[in-house]
Amino acid sequence: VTPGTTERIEISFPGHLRYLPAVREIVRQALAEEEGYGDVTPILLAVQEACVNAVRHGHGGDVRIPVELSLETFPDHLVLLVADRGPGFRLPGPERLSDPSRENGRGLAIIRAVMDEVEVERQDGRTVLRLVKRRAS
Amino acid sequence: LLRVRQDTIEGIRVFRLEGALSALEAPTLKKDVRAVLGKAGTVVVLDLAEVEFVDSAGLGALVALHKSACEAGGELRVYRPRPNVLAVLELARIHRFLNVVHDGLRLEATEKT
Repeated sequence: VTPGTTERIEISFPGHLRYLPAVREIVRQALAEEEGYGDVTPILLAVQEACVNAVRHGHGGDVRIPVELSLETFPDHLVLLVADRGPGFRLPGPERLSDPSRENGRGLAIIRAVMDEVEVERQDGRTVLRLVKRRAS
Repeated sequence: LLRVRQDTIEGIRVFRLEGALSALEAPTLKKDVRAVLGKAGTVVVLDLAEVEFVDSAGLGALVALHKSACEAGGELRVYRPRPNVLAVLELARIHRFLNVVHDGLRLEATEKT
């Protein structure tokens, strides 16, 4: 990905957690030359949480149904789309992070905390999580 | 993927973790650590120095193991997380709930108590 230009990556993978290290690595490589995002750990975390959510809740355990991820970079921001075939979900509020003793259920709240825009959309029978991160100027 | 090496140093069980602690790896780690948490007074150290990535499932495993250790009358220490991993613990607001230890001095000091 050439810094500052518009480029797009698309990945489709079976709905199994074992593919997620490779997905994170592809996104890391795609952002390696990008400036203005600082440490990309929060973006990789958002990718991970979105993909885990899609794998766990979007496919009913049927790994044959793919999870689709796209990453598009623009001069001042990037857009991540993660699509699954599940019935959709509601985004929790920040209060989801208020109880430190809970053992699960933080994933979507973490995405909201690290990305600048988070939306859930229904498109052609798919649930699409749309994440935007703005580049620091 | 997570590689785990186990040591016992002066009675303290140390799990040296390397790689990622995420949804893929968390269940096995929980099982392995819980296997040594049964005895009252057991101190377990999770050395995170070589952990480069943690997600919400990994955080959940740390919280669950901390609770298991407390319930068993023992202690779980989360030892020297990297800055980017510590930032995720802070983001999720569990850094004060867990027993996070940053240097060996503290580890040795608490060993003697």
